[in-house]
Amino acid sequence: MKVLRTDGVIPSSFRDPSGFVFWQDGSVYRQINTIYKDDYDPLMESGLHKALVEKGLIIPHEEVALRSAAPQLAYKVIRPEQIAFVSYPYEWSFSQLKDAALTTLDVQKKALEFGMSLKDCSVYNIQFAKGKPVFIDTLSFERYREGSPWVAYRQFCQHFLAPLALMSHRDVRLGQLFRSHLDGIPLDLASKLLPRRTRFSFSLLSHIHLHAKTQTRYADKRIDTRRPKLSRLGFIGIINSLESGVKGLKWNPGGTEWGDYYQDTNYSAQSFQHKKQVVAEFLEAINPSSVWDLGANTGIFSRIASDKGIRTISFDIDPAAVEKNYLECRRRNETSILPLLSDLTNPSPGIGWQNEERMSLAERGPADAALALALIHHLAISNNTPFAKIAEFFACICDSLIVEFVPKSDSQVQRLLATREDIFVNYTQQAFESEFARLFVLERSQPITGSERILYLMRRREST
Amino acid sequence: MKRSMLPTKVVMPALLYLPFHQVVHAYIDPGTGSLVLQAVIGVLVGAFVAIGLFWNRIKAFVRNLFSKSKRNEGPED
Repeated sequence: MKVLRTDGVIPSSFRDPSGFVFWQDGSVYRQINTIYKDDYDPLMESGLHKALVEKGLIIPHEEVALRSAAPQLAYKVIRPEQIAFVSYPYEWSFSQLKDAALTTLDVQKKALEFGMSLKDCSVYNIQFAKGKPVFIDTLSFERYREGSPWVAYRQFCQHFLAPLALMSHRDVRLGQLFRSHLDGIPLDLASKLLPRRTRFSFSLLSHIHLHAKTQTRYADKRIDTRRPKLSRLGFIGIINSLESGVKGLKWNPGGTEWGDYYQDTNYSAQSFQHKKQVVAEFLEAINPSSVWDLGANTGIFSRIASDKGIRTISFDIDPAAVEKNYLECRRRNETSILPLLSDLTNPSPGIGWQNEERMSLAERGPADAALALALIHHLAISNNTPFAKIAEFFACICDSLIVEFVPKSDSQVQRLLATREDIFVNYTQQAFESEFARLFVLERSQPITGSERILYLMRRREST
Repeated sequence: MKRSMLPTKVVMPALLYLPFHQVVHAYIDPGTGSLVLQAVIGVLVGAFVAIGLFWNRIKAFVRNLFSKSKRNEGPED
């Protein structure tokens, strides 16, 4: 029997003594410790797990016959269905976080029907698989004890309700607070930042504002924790109230609906069509199984890949573009594309304990292919990044690259230079090609009809 | 300003002392406030759930009554 190694334990998996997740031979496994047996067995035997899998709320798993490296702790080892790309809440749009919150509450409601409850409610227990949010932590369930309050209530408010309320009522960019607050947004901070009018919403008044006050009030008090009782009806009432609170939060990405971003380019319809055709040809030549579209906007070019069934991550810096992209995915029931928020000039770093709990963007790569369309001029001119450094970044995150060079004469580049001095003497096609050629083999290039732009197909050199 | 302070200064402390009183037993972490709040608002939201369940039963009873009387009125074989 194959023996598991302990060196593959995933760095984020250390808080819960019920088990741990580890990586071995290209697969993620989860060990269930004996201490969790009395909760794992009812989860599986009550029919709850089956019901959750049928509803697509939890990741399916199979029990595998592997011998644990820590047999004194082990009860079982399971192999969950593998998540193609791990993403984090600070990379999600408003509706992605909202759907993640509603999925968590659906899981909790279903658990209660089977006499169980969630013992934690971390936003990191949700991942996007095949286009939909899914609960991934099999160890989060415990038997429901009549009369007990919900132990994960505080975590749900910090990880879901507070950030959603801030994004909805104050500014969508406040979702980035997840980067600095690993255990969700502190409720006193959320309460301070939310507008006064949110006190007139019962959900936000009770679950955020009064919640923050009670946390402060009882922070240093000694009481018998067994005393606060919550009836089953009260328990259900709190979940219902959280659900209606989450459902009531809205955010409008603004602008006219769907795809008006592409109106603001200097492409004619013919050029745009030609560009799509060349990208499709280059993708066919690469034949990748994963694509990262960098600066994807609402994902028009991402869909050239994802519509072929290629796993595609569609990154953009604009929360409105990512939101529109996600809503389109939901509308079309797409399973191969995941829109994510990313500022490529400051991509997600490794955060948490020893900077290892949540992976950096580069750690989650490389992709088989990356698209960098109408992007180079933003990185080179708006962010003053030399071509050599841009090539270096791309060589870290992909094996093949489809990149568009936008010359200085292009009106979009001229617009970037309109309010600043042109210090970019090296911003030329020749310099672009020679710097990229250090790390990539320039296989093909194709000028786009009716424009001055050029598309390149490049492959990373073996030695890099 | 005065109105916004009302929940904090008057209503909250009054509510919090309703379902239990403080007992010195164990050191409590800040999560305790969350347990306390649930005990308080649970009474209110639980009542809504109970009313909802009761209302559904009434609706089901009336619907049942209505469909029964309709069946009785139907042609006999």
